[in-house]
Amino acid sequence: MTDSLITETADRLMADHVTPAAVRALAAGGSPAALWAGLAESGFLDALASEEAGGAGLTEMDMLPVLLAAGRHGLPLPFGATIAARAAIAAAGETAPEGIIALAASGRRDGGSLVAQVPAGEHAEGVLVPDGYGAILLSVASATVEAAGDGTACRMAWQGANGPRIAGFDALATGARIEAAEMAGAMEAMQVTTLRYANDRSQFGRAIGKFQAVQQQLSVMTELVHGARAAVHVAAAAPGSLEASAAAKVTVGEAAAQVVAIAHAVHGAIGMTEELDLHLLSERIRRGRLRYGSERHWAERLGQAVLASEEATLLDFVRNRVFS
Amino acid sequence: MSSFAPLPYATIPAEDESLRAEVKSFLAEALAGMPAEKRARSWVGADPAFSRALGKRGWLGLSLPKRYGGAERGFFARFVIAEELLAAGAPVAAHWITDRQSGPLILRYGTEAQRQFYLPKICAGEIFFCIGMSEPNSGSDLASVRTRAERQPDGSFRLNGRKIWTSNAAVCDYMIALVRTSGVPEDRHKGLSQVIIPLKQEAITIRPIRDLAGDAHFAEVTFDDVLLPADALIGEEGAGWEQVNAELAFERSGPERILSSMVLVDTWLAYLKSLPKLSTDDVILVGRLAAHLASLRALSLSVTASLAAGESPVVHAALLKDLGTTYEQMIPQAVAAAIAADPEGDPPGELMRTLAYTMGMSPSFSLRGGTREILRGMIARGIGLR
Repeated sequence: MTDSLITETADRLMADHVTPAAVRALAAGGSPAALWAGLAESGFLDALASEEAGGAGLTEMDMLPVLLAAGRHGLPLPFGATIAARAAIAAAGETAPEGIIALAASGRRDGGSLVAQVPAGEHAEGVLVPDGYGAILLSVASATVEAAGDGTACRMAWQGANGPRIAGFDALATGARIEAAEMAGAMEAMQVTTLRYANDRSQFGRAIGKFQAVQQQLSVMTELVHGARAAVHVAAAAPGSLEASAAAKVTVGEAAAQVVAIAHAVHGAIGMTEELDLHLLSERIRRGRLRYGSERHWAERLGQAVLASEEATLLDFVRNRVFS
Repeated sequence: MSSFAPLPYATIPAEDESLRAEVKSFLAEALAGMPAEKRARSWVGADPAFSRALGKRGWLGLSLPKRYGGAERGFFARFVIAEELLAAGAPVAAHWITDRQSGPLILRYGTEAQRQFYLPKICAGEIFFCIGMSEPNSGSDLASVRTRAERQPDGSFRLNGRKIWTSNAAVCDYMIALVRTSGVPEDRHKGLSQVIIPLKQEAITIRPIRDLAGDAHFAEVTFDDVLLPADALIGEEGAGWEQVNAELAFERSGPERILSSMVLVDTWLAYLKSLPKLSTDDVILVGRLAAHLASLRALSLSVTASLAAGESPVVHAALLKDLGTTYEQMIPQAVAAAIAADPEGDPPGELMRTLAYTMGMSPSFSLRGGTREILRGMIARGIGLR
């Protein structure tokens, strides 16, 4: 499939299933079954798995349009995470559970138990939890689950956790990369929505988008959205580079704060209402910033990597470690 | 209304990337012993001999065809060389504008005779061009230029007027200037043309202007009844505005809109590596600098690919320049705060002088090549608000 074909297919898929009503229903505690069934039918779930393993053998760059589309529609389910998890599980020769698979951001062994923070874990059937060098595939049915209540993550605990091992799989970095891509998509949707509003809304006898003060804000927003897209491009092109995933989460996280602020500033009071869909996107972005390490976590790790490296210049570091 | 889509991701072709090692080893030798505060001047530091040395190696006019003395290697080869020159802080100002925009402009709009006359000399680093855009009363409002080239009955031009803030005019042989060839300033974009002006002549006065760092890299250039032959006109008479705008896509999208503070960054990193213990804040700042450099570089590569495909991504270039110069300006501020966070610190003088230079000059990063406000206005037009 070409890039534009994947983009079109993904946009149609998300528009059909991830409607504002569906997102609101989930937030109100509804079942994800119908929504997930629609997404699963798309055939994207095994897109990243190799052809030998029964997948489509696409790359993360091929699949980036799907994550961006999910973000544009504010999809609250871990679709990208499930796709990445299924590919990793298949590559390890293990069998993935049928339903939603979440990626845990952390896994801590505490005596006989394993405790994990699991973003978007509410409806998951399986979880890949960081454990030693790699991850362990665990069933949510055997865990104690406590949702924080803010929609960001669940705390899960297993007694005597045991499951298939996925060697070398970095659930935190993979989660950060996927989250950054979906956030970049959500930011694009915010920009489009905000532009439309600036053209529609009139004050002082003309569209507010005609005022230079508003125009400059929308220009900055556009720059940040393009910068975020570039950052997730780089990460998708080098999924094996921890530094690239780190850079994406930093850049997107920092841009997100400004993009959300500008979107709401331009919308004014109407943007604060339950009725308008804008908050579905700001909420999606808020969760993204809090999941899999914020920009501070990743900037610190990236900074440590720079300072420990032998590269002669920062540009050399970026070329050799982020771009490949 | 248009939401103005991002450009596709682009990477450097392997055959162009392979130039890098050679450039690095050349620079290691050519710049050995040059202090950081001098290297921090980079594309405002002029050294004609250095530029000619690049020409000898075939590293000028990389995108120009072989029949004019170019390397015919395209924009990505130039990108690789530009990155290395800028990161190292090489004194590239003498040829920078010539190589970046004057050469491509002459190739695109020049007559065959003009191409044959100028391009081989450009590729050899024998002649340097500056650009005459701003005037004492025409800054951001570029279309209001008043410098006039009057057609004479024999087809030649008589040029009168003044250009200002012209970078490197004193070391350049020619200026490509935006001038009025018909009508009045109120006609705005109509009646403007570009002309090539040989600078070394009696009727032209070049007055260097000292900048706040004490350098005289820019100048005021006065034309007092300068006679120009008919073939001084480049491109179409009256199409100067369109030509200048196409040129600005080259001017605004390169690595020089990202890397202006990089010598400072690398000098600071060397200092950090020498310290026994680092604060978390410093490490976080280092990580942020790396992260933003990555996405800016990706944007610059995408614009380069678009230019290579013969497009004129004027708005994407404006967007990159505004983001890139914001990054360049953030660096000296953040590094200053980091260095002085510890009053007992003992930073080397070379680092402090490099910081002083970079911080002093940093406001110019978002002035040269189009101010922030002008660029944001262009983006607003690009997204359909104007």
